[in-house]
Amino acid sequence: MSALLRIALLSAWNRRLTLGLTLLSIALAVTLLLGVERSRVAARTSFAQSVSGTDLILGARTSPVQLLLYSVFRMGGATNNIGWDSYQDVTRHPAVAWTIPIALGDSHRGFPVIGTNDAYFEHFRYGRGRALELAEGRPFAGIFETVLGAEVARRLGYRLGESITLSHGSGELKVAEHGDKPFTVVGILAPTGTPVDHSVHVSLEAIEAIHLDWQGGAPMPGVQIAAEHVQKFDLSPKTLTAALIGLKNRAAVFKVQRHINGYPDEPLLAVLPGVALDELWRVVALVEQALIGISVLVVAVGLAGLVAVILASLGERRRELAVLRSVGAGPRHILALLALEGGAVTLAGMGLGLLLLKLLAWTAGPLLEARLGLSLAIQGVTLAELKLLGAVALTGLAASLLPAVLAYRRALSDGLTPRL
Amino acid sequence: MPALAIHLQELRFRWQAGAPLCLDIPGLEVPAGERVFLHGPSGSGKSTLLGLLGGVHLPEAGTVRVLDQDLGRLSGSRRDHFRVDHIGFIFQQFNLIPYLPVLDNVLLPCRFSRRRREEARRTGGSEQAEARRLLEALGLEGRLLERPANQLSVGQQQRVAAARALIGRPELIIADEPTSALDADRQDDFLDLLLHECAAQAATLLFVSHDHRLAPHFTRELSLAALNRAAQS
Repeated sequence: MSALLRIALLSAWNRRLTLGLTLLSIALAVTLLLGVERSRVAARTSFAQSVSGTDLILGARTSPVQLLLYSVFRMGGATNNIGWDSYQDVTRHPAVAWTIPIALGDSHRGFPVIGTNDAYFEHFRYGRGRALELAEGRPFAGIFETVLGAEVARRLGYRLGESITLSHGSGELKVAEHGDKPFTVVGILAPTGTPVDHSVHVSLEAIEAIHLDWQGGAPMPGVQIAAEHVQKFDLSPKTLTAALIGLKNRAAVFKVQRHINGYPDEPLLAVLPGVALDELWRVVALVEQALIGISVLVVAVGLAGLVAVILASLGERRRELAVLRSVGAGPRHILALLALEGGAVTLAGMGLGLLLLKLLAWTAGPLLEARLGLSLAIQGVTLAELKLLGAVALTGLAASLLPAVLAYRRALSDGLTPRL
Repeated sequence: MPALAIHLQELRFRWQAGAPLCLDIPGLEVPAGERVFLHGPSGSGKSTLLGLLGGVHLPEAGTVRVLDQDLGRLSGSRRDHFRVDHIGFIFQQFNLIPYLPVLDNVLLPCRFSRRRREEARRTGGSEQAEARRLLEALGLEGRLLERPANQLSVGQQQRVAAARALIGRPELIIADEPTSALDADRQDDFLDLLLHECAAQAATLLFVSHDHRLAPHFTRELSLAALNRAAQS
């Protein structure tokens, strides 16, 4: 058998260019397949980790997925705000332990600005119930003070004491600046791998203050209220975009949800984050399946290429196989020789694919984590990935049997002198 | 040593059921130690006969005995073993595995057959030494032996094939037109070397060719067309 192995190796080396390219195509296909799978899992994990400990999300009546997207992930915009009074009412419900108000609508160089209060730093949880931590500084106390998410500070190179201005709206286009009321960075949060990293946090009062001289999304012509004079005005918030709610007892969640959804004075919506996430996944599942489907097809193309290359080589190797027959190789040796070749190329391709994926996670991982909050951690292979790899290996081995069986049958009929 | 190297009795073979008979040989006896010239023009069933002698094909009727062994009584894998243990083959051309070095090509039978391996060790000290000795006797030596087989000339390749057939002293050497790819001068040289080595090893030689001019080198001349009733009609 070792003689056969050596022959298989040298024979493969003799055809190293075609086999090498085939191996590479299988490797790339495997990288794609595992990459898609890993991004899918990473996206789910990162979404699921973005909010924890929150029992309900409160917002204006819209679709649950949309409320989840803009309140937690800061994706898309709110269609409507909710009244401060309604929010206060909900807060006073006996089952409610804490609430985190969220006012959205402004941005700083593309990063969303969150108007909130101390409850954010006290009650917000992510991952497995981890609280936010300040890497530097302190929570905001004054009106024109801001706390930056880790990624905002890192990417824009901000440090404590820096002065920044906010823009109206969410674009990076500076269409409408709140340039007259600059904020001072007083705190920078430790990285969390969630949308918090990409947020600029200010107080609810600050949101009111910068919009004092605004109306309908534009500065009021002829009216300008200087920063030092804002204290003279009533800065208590009038509206809110959303709120995260924590309950004293989770068992009350449906009762509170019913209470909010049936709130008589204003159309409100309360969603369970987990339920909304599930709904989101149902929407995304189609895209995921399409991506997985495409990757599977790419793997199939790679394996078909392998079979084609081995089949094509059979013609030129016919005499070679007859020579092996004459020196004592049986048809089963011929079968083993070719199956070995196909199997080895498949396995080597998978190995190389895994290596490429590791390399990719290592080089592009930090970028993906920073930009998209996807953590493609350089982790071990998961069970789901093992199943995919196993399926690829089995398919590869089964596909390799095709040329092997053909060669086996040919070895029987050709005998020692193939007719060419 | 058995008295008969090859013994065919009432041998019949066809490629597929319903196809016309390809071989129909009432009898053939080749005593051990003979050097037989078998004249076989193309289409006379030559390749098929070689396949039967090598145990690659089995007859429809009759028996094929090689060295007193009825090949029909052996299983497929036993026939594969028997073939490499007792028979050395030399073909018309493309005898060698192109990407294997010359020495590895010669050693192939030793890789598949323990008997040939041990015999080569016994006569040459080691398989490699025996392979080098045979190659040298056939006029091949030096750095040539490390080269891939496809870098050799056709004449050199045929001599490598002869060394491979001879290594480990198989009792029967079957050569199928081994000289047809060589020019006339080289044919005689090659034949002399082959006959000499076969005699040295006391091997039976079955030499198949359509070229009558070579017949005088042999102890006996047979015509496959005369033997094979299927080819006569």
